[in-house]
Amino acid sequence: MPDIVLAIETSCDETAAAVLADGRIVRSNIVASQESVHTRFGGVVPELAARAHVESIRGIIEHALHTAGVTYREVDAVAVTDGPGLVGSLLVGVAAARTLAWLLDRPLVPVDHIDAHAVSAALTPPTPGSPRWPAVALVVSGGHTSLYHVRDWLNVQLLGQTTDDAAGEAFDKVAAILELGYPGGPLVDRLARDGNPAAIHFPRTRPDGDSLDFSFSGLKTAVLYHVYGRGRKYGSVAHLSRAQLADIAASFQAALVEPLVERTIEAAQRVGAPRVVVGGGVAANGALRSALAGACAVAGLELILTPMAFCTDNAAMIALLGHHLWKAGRTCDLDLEPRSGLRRPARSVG
Amino acid sequence: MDTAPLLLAIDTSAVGGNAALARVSDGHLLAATAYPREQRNGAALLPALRDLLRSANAAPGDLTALAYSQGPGSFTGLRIAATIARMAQSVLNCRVLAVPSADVLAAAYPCPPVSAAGPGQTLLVLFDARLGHAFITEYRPSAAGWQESEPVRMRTIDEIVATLSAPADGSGAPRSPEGGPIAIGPAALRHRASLEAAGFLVGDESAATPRLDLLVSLAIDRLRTGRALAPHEIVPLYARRAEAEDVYEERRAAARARRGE
Repeated sequence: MPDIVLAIETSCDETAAAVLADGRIVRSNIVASQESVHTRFGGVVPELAARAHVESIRGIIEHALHTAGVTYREVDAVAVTDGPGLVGSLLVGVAAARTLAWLLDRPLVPVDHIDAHAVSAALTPPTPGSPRWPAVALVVSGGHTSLYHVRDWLNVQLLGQTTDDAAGEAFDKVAAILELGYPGGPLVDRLARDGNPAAIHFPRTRPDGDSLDFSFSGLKTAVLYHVYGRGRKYGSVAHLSRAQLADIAASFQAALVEPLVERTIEAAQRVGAPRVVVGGGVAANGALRSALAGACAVAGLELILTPMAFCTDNAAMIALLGHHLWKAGRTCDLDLEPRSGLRRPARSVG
Repeated sequence: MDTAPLLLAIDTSAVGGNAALARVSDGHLLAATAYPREQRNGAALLPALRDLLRSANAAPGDLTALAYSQGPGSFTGLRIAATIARMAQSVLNCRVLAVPSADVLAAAYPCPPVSAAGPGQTLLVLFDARLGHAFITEYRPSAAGWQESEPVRMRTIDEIVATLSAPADGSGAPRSPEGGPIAIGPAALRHRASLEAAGFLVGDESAATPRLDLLVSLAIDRLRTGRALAPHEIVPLYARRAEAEDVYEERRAAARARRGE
C-alpha cells in the first residue's frame, strides 16, 4: 500500500487540499479560489477569507479524497500549513487538520508555507518527487518574496527576503494606482507587453549594500507620484494615454524584476548552488521568466520553473514537504497553533 | 465502554471553552471539561476533546451527534467549533446541531408563568460586539419557557437603552424591574450601570455563563425535532458583516452622493 498524505493549505485566500502517494505521485490537487469574494475590495480581506475557508474546507477535502480515489481510513498522515499567513485563514485549515488527525488517529505534520514553495520545484515533470537540490529557490508571490538555499528536503536556509512589500503585493498596488483591477499581477503583465520598459527609470532599491534582501515600497510610491504627481495634482489616470500607461507598467515591471533576478543569481553564486528554482504566483510573470532564463544561461545555472499548478498557493507542495517531514518524525501534537509571522532571517530548519 | 450513542457538545463562544460528552438517549452527562481564558481555543480544544472522550472510555466512533454553540461570540472560537463539526460530520457521518449561544443563557434564566408576566416582560441576552455595540436577542415568556421574539442583531448600548427601556405610556419614567425588561449576558454585565439606570434588571455573573447541561438538552431537543444540519448549514452565527463590507458600502454611497445619484 502506498504512503498517503492528505494535505491542507489555507494560508491566505485559497482553500486547498491534495493527496500525495509515496511522496511523488500527486493523486489530487484541489484549489478553491476566493478571488470573487475579494475582487471588489482590491485585495484580500482577512475576515472574509476566514469565513470563506470555513464554508469550503470540508468540500475541498472531500473533493481531493474523491479525486484521488482515497478514503479517510486510507490516509496515513495529515499535513497542514501552520504559517506564515493570515492567522484567521490558517486557523481554519489547522482546525480541520487537527480534527482529522484526532478522529483518524493519524500523525499531524505542520508544514511551513514558504519552505513548501521552496521545494515545490520537485513536483516538476517528468520525475516528480525527485530532489532538485542543492539549489537557490526564489519564492515570489503576493505575500512573500524570499531567497532560500535548499540543501535537501529538510534543510532550507533563508538567504534574503523583502523588507516591506512582497513583489505580488507591489503588483496589486500598482494595478490599483493604474486602475486596472485585481489581482494586479496578470493585468500589469498584460499591459506591460505593449510598453517600453526603459521609458521611465523607476528606482531599484537595495536595503543593505551586502544583503540579499529586497524592497519594493519605494518603487510603488515612485509609480504613485509619477501617475498622480506630488500632492496628487491629478485625481485619476484619466490624463494618461493607454500608451503612457503601458510604458508605466513596463517600466515598473522592469524595476521590480531586475533586483529579483540580480539577487537570485548573486545568491546562487555565493552559496555555490548549480541551479535556481522559482516558485510562487509571480513566477507566472512573463518578464521575470524571460529575464531569469537569460541571466541563468549567462551564469551557467540550471533554471527550473515550477509548473504553474504548483506555483500559486496549493496543497500538493504542502503534501510533498509534509511527506518528508513525516518520514523524518517531524510531527506534532493536537495543540498545533497557526503562526502569522515569517521565519527569522537566516534560520535553518535542518 | 459505554456503547450508547453519544453526543459531544462544544462551547467556544467565549475565549476559554467548554465541552461535554452526553448520552443521546437521556442527555445524561458522562464527562465535561473546561479550559480557562488563558488557554486559547486554537491550542487547547482538540487535546481537551481527545482527553474528554478518553476519560469516559469512549472513542470518536461512538459519537453519533455533535453540538456546538453557534454564536454570537468570539469569531475565532466559533470558526474552530464549526470547522470541527464539519469535519466530524464528514468523517463520522454524525449529526450536527447548532444552538445559538443566547438560547443557552436564556434557558438558564427563570421564566415567569405567562399569566404572571407583564406586557413588557422581555429577556434580552446581550453579547459583546465591541466599540459600544452588543449582539442582542430578545425573548418573551411562553408556556415552554423563554421564546425568541426578535432574532439576534447588533445594536449600540445607547440604542438598546433608548428603544427597549422606553415606557409604554410615554411618561419618560423608567420601568420598574418587576415585569420589565431583564438583561443578561456578558455585555449586560459590562454595561450594567447604563442598563440599570434605564430600568433594566441586570442578571449576575451566573446568568452570563453558558451551562453545558443546557447546551446538551437544547441540542438533543433539536435532534429529536429533526433540526440536524446539512453540511452547508454548519456555520458560525456571526450576526454582523465584516467591517470591510461596511466600509465598502459607505464608500460606494459616498461616491454615489458625489455623482448626485
